[in-house]
Amino acid sequence: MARVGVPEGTLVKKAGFKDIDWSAWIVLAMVAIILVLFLIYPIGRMLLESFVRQDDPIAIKNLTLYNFRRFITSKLYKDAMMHSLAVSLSSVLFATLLGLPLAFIMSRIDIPGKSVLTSLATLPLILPPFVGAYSWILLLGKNGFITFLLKKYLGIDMPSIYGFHGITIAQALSYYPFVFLMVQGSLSLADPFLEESADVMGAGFWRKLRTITLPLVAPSIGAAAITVFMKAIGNFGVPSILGGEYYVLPTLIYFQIVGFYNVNAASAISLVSVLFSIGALLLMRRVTAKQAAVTLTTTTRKVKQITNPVAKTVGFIVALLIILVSLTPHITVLVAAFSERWAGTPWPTKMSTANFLKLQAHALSPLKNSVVLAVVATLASVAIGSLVAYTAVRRKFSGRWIIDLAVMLPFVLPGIVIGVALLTAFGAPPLYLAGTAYILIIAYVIRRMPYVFRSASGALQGMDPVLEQASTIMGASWARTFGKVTLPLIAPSVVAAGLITFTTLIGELSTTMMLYSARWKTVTVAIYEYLLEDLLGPACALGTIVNVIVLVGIFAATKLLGQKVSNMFGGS
Amino acid sequence: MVNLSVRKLVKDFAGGTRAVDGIDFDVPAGTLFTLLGPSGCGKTTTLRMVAGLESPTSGSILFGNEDYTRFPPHKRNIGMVFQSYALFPHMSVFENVAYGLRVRTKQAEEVKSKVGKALELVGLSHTAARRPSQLSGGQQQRIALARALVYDPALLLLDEPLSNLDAKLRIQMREEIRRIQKAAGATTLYVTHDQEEALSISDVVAVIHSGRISQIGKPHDVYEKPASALVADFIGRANFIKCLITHKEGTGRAVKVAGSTITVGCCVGDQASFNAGDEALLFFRPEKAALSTSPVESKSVPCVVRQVLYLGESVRYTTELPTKEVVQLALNRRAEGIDEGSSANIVLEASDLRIFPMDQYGLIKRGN
Repeated sequence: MARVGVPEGTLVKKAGFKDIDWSAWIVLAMVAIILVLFLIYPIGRMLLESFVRQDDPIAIKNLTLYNFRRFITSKLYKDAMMHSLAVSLSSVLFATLLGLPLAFIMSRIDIPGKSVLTSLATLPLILPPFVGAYSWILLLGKNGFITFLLKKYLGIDMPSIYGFHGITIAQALSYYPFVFLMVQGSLSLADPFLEESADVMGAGFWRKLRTITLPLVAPSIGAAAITVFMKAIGNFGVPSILGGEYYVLPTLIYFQIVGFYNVNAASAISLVSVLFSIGALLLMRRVTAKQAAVTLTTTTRKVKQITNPVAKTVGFIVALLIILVSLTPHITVLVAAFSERWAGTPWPTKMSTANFLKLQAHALSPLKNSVVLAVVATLASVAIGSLVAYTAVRRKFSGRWIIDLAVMLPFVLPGIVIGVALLTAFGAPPLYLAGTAYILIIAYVIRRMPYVFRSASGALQGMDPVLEQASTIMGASWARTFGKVTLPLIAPSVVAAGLITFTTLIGELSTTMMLYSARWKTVTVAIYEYLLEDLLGPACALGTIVNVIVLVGIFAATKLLGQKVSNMFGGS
Repeated sequence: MVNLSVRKLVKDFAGGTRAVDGIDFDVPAGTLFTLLGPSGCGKTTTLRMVAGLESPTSGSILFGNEDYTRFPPHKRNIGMVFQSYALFPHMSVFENVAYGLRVRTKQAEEVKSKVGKALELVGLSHTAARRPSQLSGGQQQRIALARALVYDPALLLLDEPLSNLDAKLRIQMREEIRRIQKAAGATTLYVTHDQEEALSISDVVAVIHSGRISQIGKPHDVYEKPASALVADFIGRANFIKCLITHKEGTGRAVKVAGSTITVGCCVGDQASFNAGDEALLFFRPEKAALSTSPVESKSVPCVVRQVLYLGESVRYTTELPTKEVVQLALNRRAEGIDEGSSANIVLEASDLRIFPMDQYGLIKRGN
């Protein structure tokens, strides 16, 4: 810079090494290294591995489409892809059929106990889906209670719970709250005057529903459906338990790794699976862009509620039924955990804590492992997530797209795919980490850090940057400003995100299955092993423990933020 | 306390907008210097560059005889009051005020006594334990001032500090700020878009327009002797009338306005633009004119009164010249026998009249 207008002999105050605030740059460099090493590199490596054959090194001459060609040549591959699409689409259909009426009842009919009902309806979203999934074996399996009743009294032979039916039921019931919460949100935001003006013009209930209400919330129905699709197509836990011989893409990936340690095939399948997710995400962007234009309302007036007693009674019963059905698996797990004998009867014939006592033999160290891994990964996610958020929100620099990408990727990538990516990167020297606690922690952090990031960057955006500038002007260094001003102000959001991170990690199965070793077996792996041995009782007991940890964590987070559970999970 | 000097300061924002376009000024130690201008004129950007929150594209910022242009903000020893006050919501009033001291010293006793004195200076000792959210707007404002002054900064910066207060409190607080600033003897750079605030509080005012300084001067001079039509128009209310120069009269001119010849005391700008036969822009303040039923030789212009508004402390007359130009007058009492629809004469003293070159006509807002 040309120094102009300064008289000769002016003393120029140069910032010495000590005067410059290096802390911000050190943080930035750290964040960049972590993102590149543990996210960008593994995903890039996975991409390359998918284009070479098993055991071939990555080199130009080895590049081949062999792994992808199997989607044409292999029936197993073709079927898995079709199965994935079929279960995901049918999960979307049934989740919508459950979520849509519930959203309408809760936002338009004046029924009692709405707040409690909303919390109950959100539960299936919070509890790990695979824990609820195996209760269907108890209900609809070969010796299941419902199967037994249907056969005895109606003479109906139920099809096997393993496969398409089971996966669809379990996924639809786990993911329907997305539809409920997102549609309810936009129904209660919709401008009440629009419906009232339709009233004034003489439109009846059904006409109004068809011509005004549904078109207004259509974008959020679309967004919810896409969310459910992305969740379903990436889900490993439910098909791994209820799939049997019915392979879907995530279980096929697992099969390739565990059966043949074929990371190249697994990478190719992962890539195909990710393409579906990205397609869904692109669709989502178009749908939500429309939504923004529709749901804007300038009035604080609430939509008028239907108070007709018949409508209220019917609405209440339907809402209760939907919620009860969706909670059935979780209630079943709880009851089964305390039952000693339960076959073909509506209620266990003998109740005891025997299942919990059996856990002592095999489940104590996995439980400890899970807690240790989850605590370390949570602390790391919180630290890195809030620093990345700070960097992205407060610093202007040209490389920001790397952070945006790094933070978006784990939203799109199913857990099992992240598992594959990390295996390709760290499953062989020079950085051999497979089977260690480190690789599990890295995987957990990569998957969960974006959620902390979202929470922290939301809090940062809501915080006026002049507070930090005021601190700087008063002479505080960057580190002091961050510690004394920024951090205390975003702390509630960050701690809440940390609690939620911890609970989701306790219930994490898909990534863990790809990366764990005998030394670092987690509680979810222990549950999976019980299921393989058909020990449903201990599996339910351990599942109950997981559920309790999850519920306590979420409860604490809601108290901390002074928010309802439904608010924290609804808007995604 | 030191002198602040700003030399040829330029700031280009990404995208090529030039927010500050070569600004020069000096603030002598202990004085209050105001940057006055409409929003977007570059005054806040200039202040933020002095604070170190923005870095200049070129130019220099000197504290005393030391060049601080590229020195990090947290090492500049500056006190600043932000438009939104920027009080830390998670700290008590005491902790807010103590913040800058704690950066500078570890001695708890010193912190306690200095915070006590600062709170006393702004008259809010009893609020020390409260949170900022429990204070009124005016109290928050004073705490922000105490927080900025408590560690004796080399320079005090105030960025539109009164814009979040209601009209009455604003007047009260600007007197308060002036009192505290004088008591602390702080070299102060003040930014505002409110001309009345600027005139009442400052030792020196710099009027800024489009990133450049239009005029620097004492409040009285800026108001009474604007250096351009632009300044005249921005500060206070102004009448601009087209006139024709007939001949020179001392340092002034005789001009023809709507058929009448009147004497003007001062020509502002290049003397070459004020020759006989040239058009010029006649300027005067509404309160500097009188109304009369009869014409006065070389001092009056005929008009028709269109509207009379009684405002309490003054009476506003909207009049129209034979040329259809509208002239506003503010008299301190009603003119006898002159009502809406009356024909009258606007009486003007030569010393209250200034003419600007006609090419400044394009710069002023019409219709006031």
